[in-house]
Amino acid sequence: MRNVNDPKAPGISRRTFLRGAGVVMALPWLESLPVRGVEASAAPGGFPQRFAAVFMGNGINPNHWWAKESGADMELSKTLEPLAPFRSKLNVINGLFNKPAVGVGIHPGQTGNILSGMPLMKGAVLRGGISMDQVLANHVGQDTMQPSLVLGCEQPITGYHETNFSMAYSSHISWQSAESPVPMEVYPSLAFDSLFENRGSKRTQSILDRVKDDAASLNRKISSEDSRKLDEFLTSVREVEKRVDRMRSDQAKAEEHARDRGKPLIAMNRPDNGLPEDIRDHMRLMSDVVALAFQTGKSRVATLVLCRDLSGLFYPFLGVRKAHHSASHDDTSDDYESVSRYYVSNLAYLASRLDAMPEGEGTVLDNTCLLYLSNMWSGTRHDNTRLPVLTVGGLGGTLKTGRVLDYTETGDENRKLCSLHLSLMDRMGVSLPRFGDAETRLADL
Amino acid sequence: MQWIRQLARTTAHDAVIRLARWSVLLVLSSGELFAADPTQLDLESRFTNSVRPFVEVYCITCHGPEKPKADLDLSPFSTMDAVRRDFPHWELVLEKLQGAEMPPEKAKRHPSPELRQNIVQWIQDARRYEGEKNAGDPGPVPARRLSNAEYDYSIRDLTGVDIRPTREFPVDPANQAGFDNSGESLAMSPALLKKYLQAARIVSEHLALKPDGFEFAPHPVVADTDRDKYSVLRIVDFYRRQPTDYADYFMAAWRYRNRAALGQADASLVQIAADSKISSKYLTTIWATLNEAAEPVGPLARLLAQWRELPTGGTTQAGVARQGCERMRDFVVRLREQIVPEVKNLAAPAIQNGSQTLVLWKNRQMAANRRRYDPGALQIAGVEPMPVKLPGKIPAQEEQAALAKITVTNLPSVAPESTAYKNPNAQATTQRRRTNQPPSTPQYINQGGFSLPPAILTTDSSATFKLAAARKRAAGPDPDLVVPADPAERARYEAAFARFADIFPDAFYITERARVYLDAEKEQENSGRLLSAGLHSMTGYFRDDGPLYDLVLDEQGRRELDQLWQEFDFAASIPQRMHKSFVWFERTDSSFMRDPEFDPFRPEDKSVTDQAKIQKLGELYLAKAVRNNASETVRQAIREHFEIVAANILRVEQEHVTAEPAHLSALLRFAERAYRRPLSRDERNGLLAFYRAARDENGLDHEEALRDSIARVLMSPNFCYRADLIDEIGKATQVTPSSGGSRREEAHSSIFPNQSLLTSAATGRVNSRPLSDYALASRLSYFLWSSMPDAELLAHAQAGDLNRAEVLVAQTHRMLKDARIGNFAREFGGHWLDFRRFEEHNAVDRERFPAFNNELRLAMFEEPIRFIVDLVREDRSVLNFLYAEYTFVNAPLARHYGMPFPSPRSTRREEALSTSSNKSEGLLTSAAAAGSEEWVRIEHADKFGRGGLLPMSVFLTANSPGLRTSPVKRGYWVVRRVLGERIPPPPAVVPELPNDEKTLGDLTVRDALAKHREDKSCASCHARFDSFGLVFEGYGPVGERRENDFGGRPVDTRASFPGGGEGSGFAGLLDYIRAHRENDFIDNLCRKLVAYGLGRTLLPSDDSLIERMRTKLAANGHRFSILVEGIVTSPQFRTKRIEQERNQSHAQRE
Repeated sequence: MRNVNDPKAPGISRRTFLRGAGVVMALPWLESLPVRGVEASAAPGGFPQRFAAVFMGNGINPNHWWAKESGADMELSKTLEPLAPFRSKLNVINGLFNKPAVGVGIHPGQTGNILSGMPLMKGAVLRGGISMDQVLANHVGQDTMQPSLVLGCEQPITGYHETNFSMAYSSHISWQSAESPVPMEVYPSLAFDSLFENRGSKRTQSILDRVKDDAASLNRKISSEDSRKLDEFLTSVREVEKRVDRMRSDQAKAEEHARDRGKPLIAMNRPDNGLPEDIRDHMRLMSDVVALAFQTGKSRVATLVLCRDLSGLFYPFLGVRKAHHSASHDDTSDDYESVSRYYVSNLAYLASRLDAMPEGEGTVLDNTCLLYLSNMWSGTRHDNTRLPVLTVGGLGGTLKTGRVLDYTETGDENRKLCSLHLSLMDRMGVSLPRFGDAETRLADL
Repeated sequence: MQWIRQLARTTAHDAVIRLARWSVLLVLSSGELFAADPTQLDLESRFTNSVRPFVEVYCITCHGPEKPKADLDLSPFSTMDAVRRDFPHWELVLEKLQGAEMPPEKAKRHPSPELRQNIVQWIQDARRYEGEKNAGDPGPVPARRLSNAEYDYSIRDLTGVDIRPTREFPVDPANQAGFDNSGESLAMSPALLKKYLQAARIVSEHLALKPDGFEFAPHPVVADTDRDKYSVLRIVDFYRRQPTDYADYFMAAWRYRNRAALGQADASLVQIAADSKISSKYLTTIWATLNEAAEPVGPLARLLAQWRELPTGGTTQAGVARQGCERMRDFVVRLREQIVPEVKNLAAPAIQNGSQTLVLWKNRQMAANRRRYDPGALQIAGVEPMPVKLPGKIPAQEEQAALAKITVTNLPSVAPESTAYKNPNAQATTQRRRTNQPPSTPQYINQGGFSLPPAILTTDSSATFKLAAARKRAAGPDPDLVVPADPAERARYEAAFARFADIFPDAFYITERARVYLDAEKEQENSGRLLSAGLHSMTGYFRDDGPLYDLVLDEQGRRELDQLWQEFDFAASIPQRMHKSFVWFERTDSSFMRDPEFDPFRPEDKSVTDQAKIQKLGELYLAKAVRNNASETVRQAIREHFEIVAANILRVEQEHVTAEPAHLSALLRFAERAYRRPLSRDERNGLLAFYRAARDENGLDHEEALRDSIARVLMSPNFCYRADLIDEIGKATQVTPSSGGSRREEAHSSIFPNQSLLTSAATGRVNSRPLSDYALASRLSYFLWSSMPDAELLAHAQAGDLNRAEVLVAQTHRMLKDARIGNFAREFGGHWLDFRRFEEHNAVDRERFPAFNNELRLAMFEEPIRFIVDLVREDRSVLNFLYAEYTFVNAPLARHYGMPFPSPRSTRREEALSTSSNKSEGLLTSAAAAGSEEWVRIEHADKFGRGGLLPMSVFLTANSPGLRTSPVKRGYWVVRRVLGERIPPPPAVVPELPNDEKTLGDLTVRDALAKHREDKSCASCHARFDSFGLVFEGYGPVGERRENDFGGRPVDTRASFPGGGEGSGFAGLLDYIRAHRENDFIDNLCRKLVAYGLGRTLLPSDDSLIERMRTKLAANGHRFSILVEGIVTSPQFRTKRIEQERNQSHAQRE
């Protein structure tokens, strides 16, 4: 034995240790493994914060989109009426806009960067920016079953719009990198499955199991000195497995808690394969999946594209014969008002699900922020110089609610949508110096 | 171990007593030493009797366990065995004793010169003894993970794309020799393993499925739009690689005509086509056209006239001929544009103009017209040109009439003769038609539907038409379009036009298509929609490359192109997605399908692409069109559309089903490549079982399960570790009289100087066995390429002959010539010379040195890599590293060096460069490759103060602290990195020089250093390297040449070198090195290379190898390959230590 090589031997400096011949160097071995997630993005009450962006394409009926006063006294327009039960948990935010999406061309160019604030590139090669939900997923989502849920009720399309932007920008608001959107799940059954182990940690576990077998079989063929290095590998695999286990047991506990406390809790059966015939069922199921994920802690970040830009959805149940996009071209019509109100009612539905889940003194909704967005203000004029924006939920007490905020007159620098994104990410413990086109937080939020 | 430390602390008076105790303990603790031979006993007793007491008396006061000076603690070396295991420290002791540097002057006690010499002698003897006793010992080389660089390169070679997943990994530490490729330093941790997991997943997201296997895309291909991008860019890239410039063909024809004068009398047309990198098939067509026996009329006559005017003669005429050929091309293109048949929009009541049914029909017509012409464009002599008609929609009846009329007037002889390619839309190949196609599919569907006869309708969206239209407006009647009025003559002319149009298509392929039903010129703004079908908003692609396919491509090219399109459909499910997009569009933007009868058809619904549903939709769609009085053409277009859609979707669905087994085979092949050896049966079954379980138990679909399987392979230690497996014992010693076994034995004896190393039972102390052939292949490839073995190496491993000397050496030479040697240049060179991370070097003040931009930084980083690559591939003398008068520069570096940069065409392209354009060979960092900067070799760089490694700006800059030079750092770099001198680290308290030369006051850096050396404790080291840096004072902080420093003082580059000799500047340094230090350089290079090649720190037992290498090097013109040959044929490279025996002997003793 050479004690020069024993780093624990007293009196031998680290430097000697490093310089000794044949010495194992300082390892990243002891690098800590921060358990992110619960601890990192916990609200003051100790409950995890959740975020979901809920999107509808082609704008709303501007005549019926307003609110006055605050808190319980808040007066809501016809379109916003479905949110009446959540007045005190609601913020109606007027006057924000996404500058890189203005003046570049209608539809896809107004949509693909709504959560990134980066300029979009025309033509066959797409380029924009990572979206804020994915930034959150990369931080607070890392130790949940699904870092994020990216759901939609309409398949993405990928042709070219007359503006020469790819239609993919009309379908995707979640981008994992500047070049690639996050594939969107449209089937409720698969979205549901993604929350269960066979699609999440169990996949990792299967890989690690097999890899351990490989190491064991390799170990039989090599010398004891080799084994020492392979032991490092095996130990590391076991450590990672432990973390996966811990994550799973944490989640099992969370589910348990949810079962104990959540009354009424989501008693959600696996949706049928295929798509629901009725779009109302489809949207409700997708909302249920988000609610279930949030309640059970399986995911804390979601985007839900209820309908994409240039949507082809129909609303026979509203008595509207035109498809969504066509209807939006007459945005002040009663028809489009009822379409807009229908979408707001979906937001209200998701909020009601979360609000029905007790968590601590409050509900899951209180620890959540639902961000409701469209890519335009007026579909007739394709006007996106201001956008309809709502938030529901207090994000664990970090977001003041029950307010009507108006940025219409504050000047372009002070009404950036990306400033709102920065402010929301801040509240979830992800503090960036800048995001998209913004370097400042949204004032008075 | 506590007792040793206690011993060390006791005083020398007890030495004698302790000696006795040591002896006993030594015997007990080391079985090997117990059985030692006389020399060893002698050394052992000299150690205990004089060396150890010497250390106790003269050294241990400072170099004891408590705060050892210079971090050197000699107390643990209580036995010769301890010395043997950590010899590098004793080499330091040797150095210090020899140089009489230790004990220091201020020490209380000093040994007599005899005593000192005695100890020196012992260390030398011990080293020699140990080295010889174990010569060829492979040493401890444990299983180790791939280094980050090796991981990235391996992923690149395995997948064919440069994903570089380790960007997120922590930086690998280096071992004592300065390399990061050894088991000593490469460790694994849970945090790193998690990153491996992420990396494996990232790589798996690049998986691109093909009908017959899979490959990897340069970006993730999970979302539809990414899948599209991948295929589209590959197809467009294929198109753009094809030679379609008419001038090149005319020029090749000219070369053929003048082949005798050009000194190629025997050259065939095929050969000339190959030399000109054009299609021999199309050249044959062009040649035949230009040499027709019959006298042509019309456009061909004019072309031939120009052809005949081309000069006759050899190379001297080539320039003139080229100009003539370009004029011929311009003539063809201009005339061709004006006779493009136009295809009008097909229109139908209630159907949107941008609908798939109508636009795709129009695309089919245009595709069919590429080699046809529009007789209406001709002008009859003496007849005023007809005013251009601009009708809107053609009424159905009129359309039918026009159809009939044209069929009559258009002569059968003008129909293009090609039959091979007729399938622009169904994308069915001739092969597929023979094999995979469902027999029930009507032929016309495979051919993309019915085409109308040519030239009845007009298009305003053909690529060439846009230009033609502009010119038509600008120019009046064109004499080239005039045909005689006489009917017989006119027919001859029309036939000539038809032939002209047939040979010279209006386009060989279409890469871009904006909306084809709208104004072409306005639509030109919508560029970049690669391969788009030109629909309104919908997903849609359209293949239109018939002329390229028929006229230019050979069989292989056709196959490749067909495959690319087939893979596009397959990977991105194009027919399905186009159809879903169609349904979405027809129900929304177009209101055609808003009637309730269409309600069952929803794009979100998977069943919308069922055959029955497509058929049903087709019927409803047609019925509605008929109700709206659509023309017969429209009805036909609708029928065709739905039939084509149904057939294409069926085809792709069938391909998806039949592809699954192929993907699993590909997965096994992938694992085999990843593991760098064949899979055992258990491994194969295990991998397939994993895939199965992923589908059955985890409920994944085929593609997801494959992705997980890929991740699982990449996570396996079989991939991410190198274990250097030896042959299984039975296999290694098995000697079959007639075959491989005995041959292998011979091979060993011819290479290995020490035969006994090969057998574990031999008398040597170190037991080792040959590596398996596969392990040897990996060792070789990770040494020379930092990556996995290629197919050829693995084939030799499989054949079992890699261990044969001649095969091993031949493979080594092949590998040294390969472009992947760039990895070696970066990894070995980068660590040896310490420029590994210079791409990220940020210590330069860019305001003071505006010339230092990212481009220059990258060029500086590249220079030594280029130099090393050239030296290795060309197998030059390693002395070139020092004395070469040449170097390599690109334009920014040439500017920096004040060298005139030769214009690209006048210089020989650097060979190393041109091969690097192949991405997978990856000689360059991608940034440099993307900049496609040209590098040239500068022969007389010495005129500019450059040449060889030493004055490269990368080293001068990296060793300058910002706004001044640092002769200390530069000199230290030269003596340490290049000459291999070992110099202890500076004491903790050293005066800092200011960072800016301006602030030095009256002193120059040189003066400041001279003052520093007045302090004796500093002088002992600084005297050894300052001078090596001072000679570079003529180079500023970013390696720029200079006369004055920043304080405005003239620079002084004189220096007195250690051991005598004066010199000035870089040249003076070279003179000194040549006279005194060349051996140091060679010795250092050998040692570094051996340490790198073996992946471990050197042992005394490597001395004889290094000695052999040096001898052979000197005898063979110092060629680089001699060094590598020496290493790869050495026992330490080809064998592995076996430790069981030793353990056993321990066990027995106990």
